[in-house]
Amino acid sequence: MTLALSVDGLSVWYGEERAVHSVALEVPVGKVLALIGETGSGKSSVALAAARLLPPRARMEGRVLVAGEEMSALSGAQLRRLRGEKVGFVTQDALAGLNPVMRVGRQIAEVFQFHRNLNRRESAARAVESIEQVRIPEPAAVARLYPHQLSGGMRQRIMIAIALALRPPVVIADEPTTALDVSTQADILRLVRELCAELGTGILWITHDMGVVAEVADLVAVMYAGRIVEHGHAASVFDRQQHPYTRALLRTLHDMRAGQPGDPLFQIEGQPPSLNTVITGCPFHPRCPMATSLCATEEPVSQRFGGLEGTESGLVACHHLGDQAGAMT
Amino acid sequence: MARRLIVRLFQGALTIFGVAVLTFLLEFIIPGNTAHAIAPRATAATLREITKTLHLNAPLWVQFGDYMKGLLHGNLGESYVQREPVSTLIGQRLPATALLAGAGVLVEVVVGGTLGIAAGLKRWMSRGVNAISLTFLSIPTFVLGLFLLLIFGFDLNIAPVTGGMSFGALILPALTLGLGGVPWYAQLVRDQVAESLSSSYVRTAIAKGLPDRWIIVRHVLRNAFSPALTMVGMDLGIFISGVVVVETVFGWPGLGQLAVQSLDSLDRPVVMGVALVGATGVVVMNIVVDFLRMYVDPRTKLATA
Repeated sequence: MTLALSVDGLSVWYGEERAVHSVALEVPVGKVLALIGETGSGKSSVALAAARLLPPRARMEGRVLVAGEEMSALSGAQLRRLRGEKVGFVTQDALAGLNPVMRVGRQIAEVFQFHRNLNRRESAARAVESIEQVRIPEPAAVARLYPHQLSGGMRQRIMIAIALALRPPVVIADEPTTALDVSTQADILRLVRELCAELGTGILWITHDMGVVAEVADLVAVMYAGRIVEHGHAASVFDRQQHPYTRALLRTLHDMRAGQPGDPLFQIEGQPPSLNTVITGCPFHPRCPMATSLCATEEPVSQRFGGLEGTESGLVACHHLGDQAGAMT
Repeated sequence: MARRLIVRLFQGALTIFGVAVLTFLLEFIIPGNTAHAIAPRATAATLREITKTLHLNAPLWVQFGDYMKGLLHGNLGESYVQREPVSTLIGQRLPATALLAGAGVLVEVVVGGTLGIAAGLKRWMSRGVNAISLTFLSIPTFVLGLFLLLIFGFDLNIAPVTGGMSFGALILPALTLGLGGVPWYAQLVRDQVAESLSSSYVRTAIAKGLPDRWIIVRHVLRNAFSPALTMVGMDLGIFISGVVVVETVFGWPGLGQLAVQSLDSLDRPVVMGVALVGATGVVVMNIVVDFLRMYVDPRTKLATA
């Protein structure tokens, strides 16, 4: 299995506060890994760190390998050369993510101008091709428009076109469909799946939406309080739900889809810990229905289940792996 | 776009009319006998004669009607004191004031913009820029003008102190006028640059792998200067209506001085004329800037009136 992106021992601090705790992730070539978690779980910090786009006040540790090349140690011109070339980045809100005073074609063309040393005309032509690739009709006309003249879905397609312009092995997408309505969201998800298969791009897709995960992901990693609590193939995560937190997340989704109007939604009791909370033991134990005294004192290490390679395999950080089948359903 | 222009021109005409009404009323609130002001040593008979020929005893609305009738024919009236058409007097002064206004705005934009960019890009410069801003903000214009005159005119002897119009004579008044506006531009541009730097689109630009300088020039500055353009328009308009203090301190023969002199002598047609020129300046500059901004920031095209 060739890896497009591999993250190992990644930690992120904002000043004294630690947002990410030794996270490890692997995105195979041509696959989509959905990184899911609540607001504040550290998922966006992982995305920014993996793309080396953390704000200056943040500090990171750990290794980020893109197509086998170490990104975490680079800086300055070397890093700049690999940006766009090796890693594409898609922001949450494309209206904010695109420069409001520059035509969208120009915003794509810039990439070719710098990375391919093309002149203005050639790079403009390549930009039109990029727009066509994300299935926008009349790409030459759209290239001459400004972001505010496009619909939300079109803007997000332009963001994707920028990210994919140089055909990087990895695209990191930070909640790219959150700002879109459901049908546009479905279009974007389909587009990304198609392009990802077509170009062999590995995608790290950050989201808090289990429905999106179900539609787009080959692999799933669940984050809680800056840690990955479950990581595995989408099918196995959805079917077996080894970690109590994953199970609770999926139950909220299930209630939303299958519940009757007026039925109370399932909620996870309590609040996720804030960044400055001192956590002992398993970070989920205060809210976990299965917590024992062991959970309060000792942090669980990730255990592998279901063999090493198959779609039934994964990693779970829970002390009660195996003895909780059906405990919550 | 044409519709927008028509709407703006109509609004502008209304504004100018409003200024005309207000100025006219204000002139009558000012105490003093106009006829007496025109001819201080005249006999009672002469004063009656003046009052009669100028319709000074007619009701206010009749006088205003007469004035507006003349205005519609492009006639601003004749100066009571200098016996010359107001348009000629203003025409003599306007170039000087326009030159000073342009130079002052140039100083504001160049100095304020540079400080603002520096402070926005480098956090450690922000303090120094704040100190400079605060200094210029707390010095009254006439004090700043006199300081500059003392230092550069008398002590260092590198700028003329005699007044009049020349390129050398322009430097100090332009600096005085411009430096007073520097804090506003510095703060505005600094905030805009800082905001733009932390924006999502700049992060996108970084993720593209573009060089820093390109990102700053193409992505940050263009976004940062768009609001400053509005301020430039306002300042140009306001300065053209006469910068009284600066013109007085430096003996610059502009509209501001004309306005002060004619107010002193109750020379009503001239005061009216200067006020109208000022109002027109503000209105026209605002329209020009409004349309310029549409090219710098295409989003503003949406906000059609």
